[in-house]
Amino acid sequence: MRLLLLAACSHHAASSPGDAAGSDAASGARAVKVMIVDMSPIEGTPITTALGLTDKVMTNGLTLDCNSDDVCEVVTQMGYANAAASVTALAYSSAVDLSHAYIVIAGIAGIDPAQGTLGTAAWARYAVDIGYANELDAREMPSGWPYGYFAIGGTTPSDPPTGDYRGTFQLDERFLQAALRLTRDVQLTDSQTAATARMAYPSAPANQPPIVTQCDVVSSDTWFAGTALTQRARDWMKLATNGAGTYCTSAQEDNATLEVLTRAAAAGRVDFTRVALLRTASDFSAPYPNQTDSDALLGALAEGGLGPSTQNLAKTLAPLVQAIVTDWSDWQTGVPAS
Amino acid sequence: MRLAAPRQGLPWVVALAALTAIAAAPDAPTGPLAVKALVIAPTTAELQPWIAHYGLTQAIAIPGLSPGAPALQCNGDGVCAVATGAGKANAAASIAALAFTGQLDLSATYFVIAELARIDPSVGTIDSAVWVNDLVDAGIAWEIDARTLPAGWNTGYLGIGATDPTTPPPIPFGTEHYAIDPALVAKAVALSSASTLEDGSAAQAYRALYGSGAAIGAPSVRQGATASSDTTWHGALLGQRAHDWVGVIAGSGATYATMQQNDNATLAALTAASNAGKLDAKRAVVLHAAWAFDRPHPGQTAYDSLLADPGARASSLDNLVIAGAPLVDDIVANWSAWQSGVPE
Repeated sequence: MRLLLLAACSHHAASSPGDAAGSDAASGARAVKVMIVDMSPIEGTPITTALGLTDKVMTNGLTLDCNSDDVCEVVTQMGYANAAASVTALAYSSAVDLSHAYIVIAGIAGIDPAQGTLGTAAWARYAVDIGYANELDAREMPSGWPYGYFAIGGTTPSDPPTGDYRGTFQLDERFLQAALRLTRDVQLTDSQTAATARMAYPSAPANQPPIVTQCDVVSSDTWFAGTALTQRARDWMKLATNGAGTYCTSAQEDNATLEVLTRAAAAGRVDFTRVALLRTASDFSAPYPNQTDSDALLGALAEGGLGPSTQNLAKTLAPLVQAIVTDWSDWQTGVPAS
Repeated sequence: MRLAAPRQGLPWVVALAALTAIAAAPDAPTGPLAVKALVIAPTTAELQPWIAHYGLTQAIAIPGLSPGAPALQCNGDGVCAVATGAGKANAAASIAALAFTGQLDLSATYFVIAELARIDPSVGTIDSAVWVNDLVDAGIAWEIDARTLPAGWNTGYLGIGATDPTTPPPIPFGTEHYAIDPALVAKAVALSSASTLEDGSAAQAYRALYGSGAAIGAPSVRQGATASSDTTWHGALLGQRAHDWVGVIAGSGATYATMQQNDNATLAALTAASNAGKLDAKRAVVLHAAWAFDRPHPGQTAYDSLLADPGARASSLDNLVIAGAPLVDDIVANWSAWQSGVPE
């Protein structure tokens, strides 16, 4: 088997990356400068409105929204399966050339109140998969365990995820720092409901107005809330990044999207050093003191964070997108030095 | 799991034949390869029995496949197989790559999704083969830790946007439920029901520990519903939740039988490609070989059960082909009939 695969690999390499799928991309494909990947119309509509993305491009079952600056946006639909399928359809589309595109994954998320608040806009360095795991119901787990999750191939919750599943991605540091530099002074939107809801939390940053920041994202189809599962996300992030990452936002697609982009980069379709990941907080993943886990979860969409989080995606993206298209002669060859 | 070593090495003659095929590949036909039957496995371990059985020695590299299995394996009869990599992200990424990179003609292809799975001991036993009717996503959900449940909840899982675990989720993702074409399932069952499944003494001893019910019966070819999640849950409580959730999503006509990590993502990618006109997702069928149970036997902890080896792994890998090959054989042998749809 390994011999077969090795041989197949070298055959592929010899025929130059991507040319099998990319032969038609060379002729007439739209050379995209900025590709925004979001997961639902709730996220996409404020972005398409703010950036004037009024051109429709239909390709491979997707509808892209673009403008004359070659800024485009796609809605993948929610969850791992949709994200992976849609981003693959996008990456191998002959209608767009993404080989020089800056790709920004942008969506709403839960947030750890120890790291941010409703409306926070966080650029991620690490994206860690927390869904690909073993789970025992906490009422049936071995005594002394903090929660029922542990790594596939592991034996206790303190074992790091290992093996062949690619569960951790690191985003390009140069693009991350440029995104932070260009967006950190953005005045984020807040709502009265969110301002009131966050006051139930006793300390900063949970009870402070939202800002643009850097912290890391965990992904799973399963949207968790509560004290124990938030601690599990914190611990898993540390285990998966050898202590370097900090759990901050929780999403449902990013590792699927990044798996596809990694493969597409290997095929010459995209440049993984031009990928950034922005998540804005719509709800807290952990309760405030004396709030139950179930109340925190059931009330997640009533905290007033949904509106600001979707508005803040567009607000935070705007100066980065503007810089890339305005200074394209600099960005074309790579992220410019500060 | 994804790159678990094959149970046996590839015979050197097969490897040599593969090299020959690859050396000749630059002169391969210019049009897309028309595939009649495509076997979809999560791991190379689950791919290997098909390669051996059908002589799938022609490796066709496809951009966007898993780096651990970057080529489709085919023979000259239009039978191909692919290992997607385990989990939803890998499954959807690989299947979408096959569909959207334009190297294959999948317009009339039958997709045989075949993998190892865990089985509910109240429904069946290890070394059984299950043709799946309904696929329910068990991962797309809200969750709180089960030690903090409010009154009336029996699990920490509930639908996203729902108010309790028994209420259907109000926010559609689109990938929560797929039903396989009943005519295709019926054909697969009819063709394979007389197959003699492999079942060893270790598996026989292990199933006896369950004491009663379907778990201690003889392995069989049967039908059932499956639950998919990247999270490999285990135990009586999460098994009950899977059973209940299948009913919430697919209705009372669906009975939870097996669990695995991939299938709703595979169907999601096939459906996306189908909607884009690349293939017909109605031609997908799902076969599971039960290599383990989803919960412990009496006197065993959930933890010990999850990590136990029931002794049915090797036989289950063989059972994928034993139960699946009659369908693939019929599709290839009677292609003129199958080409336009499932024959009467």
